[in-house]
Amino acid sequence: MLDRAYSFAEQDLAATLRDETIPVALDVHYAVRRRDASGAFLRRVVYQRPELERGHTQQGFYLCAADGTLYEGWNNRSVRRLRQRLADGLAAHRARGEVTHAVQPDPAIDKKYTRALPDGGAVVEVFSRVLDGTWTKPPTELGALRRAATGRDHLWIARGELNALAEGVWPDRLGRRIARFHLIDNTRGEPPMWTARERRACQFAITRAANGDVDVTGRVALVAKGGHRGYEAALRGAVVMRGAALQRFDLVSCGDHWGHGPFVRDAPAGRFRLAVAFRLAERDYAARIPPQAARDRRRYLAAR
Amino acid sequence: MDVRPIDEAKFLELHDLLMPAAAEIWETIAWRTDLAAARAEAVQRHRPLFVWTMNGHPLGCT
Repeated sequence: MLDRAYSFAEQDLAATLRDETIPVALDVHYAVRRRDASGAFLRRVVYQRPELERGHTQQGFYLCAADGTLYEGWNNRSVRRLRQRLADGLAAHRARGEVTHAVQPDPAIDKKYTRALPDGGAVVEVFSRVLDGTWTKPPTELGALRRAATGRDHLWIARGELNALAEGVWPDRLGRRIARFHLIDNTRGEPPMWTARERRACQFAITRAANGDVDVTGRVALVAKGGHRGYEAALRGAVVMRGAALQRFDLVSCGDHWGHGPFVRDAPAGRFRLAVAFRLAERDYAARIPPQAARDRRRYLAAR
Repeated sequence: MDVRPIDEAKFLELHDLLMPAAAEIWETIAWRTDLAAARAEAVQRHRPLFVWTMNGHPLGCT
């Protein structure tokens, strides 16, 4: 979230990326493992960074040519450094002259690392935020951004679940998927998802109006083994179907969260209010970005 | 578990509160997600690629 809130929050940098580069966003965990032309290209680019030989993360920024020549590669949130690296890399690209490297379409895309929305499914955007809490340490500049950050993800609803909603039936599997994979504190990074055993309560009820619109209420209790992390919350929402097409999926969860995962430290002390909100996807890229938990697509959709 | 139910007014208030602005600055950048197509575009438009990578998708849960 820091890149969104910090690195790319300057108008001049955004203009440079829009007007002078072809900007690409990738999940490197998957993209670099692909056994196809795109995976081979990305591996060629990232391993030109000398520090990666020492086991550094492949996360970061890469300014490169279409033939794989790396101009700049780094992993640092400094806006000053981003500005300088961009200027240096663009100068190197201009000095090199025209790159005429022919790019062939992938003859065979590695489907092991592609995760597609189920046929006939719907995409919902998910936003989370800490509403109030007590932090024990004063924040750094970046820490203050983390504490005020909005977490993002996408929820997939399968065709069968849409059909159930159209008939005024709440699909239990959808409720479990929301609870286990989306009612998380991802405001400062990716936390562990809840396991089936950690889902201690997950109750949804719906009321169907005469026009077919559906009001949703619910409550969840999600508690990690040992009790060091948990979320107890109420839910309320409104769902509108027209035939089998989802027209509205507004849902809110609000309750007490406590604890943190290994990659999302600096949580407020004790219990704090965490809210999660859902809406039918409006962003044009939403359908291309799978839910984080869909790395195991079968487990995500089954949501046991 | 003592969880306060959410009434209609609170639901609308919270939902509105959590929705992000129409387009934050980072969203004014048209991020491509297909690397092969982006490479072809880079050749055609004589531009370099700027690749933003994270463990997890940068436009999603990271």
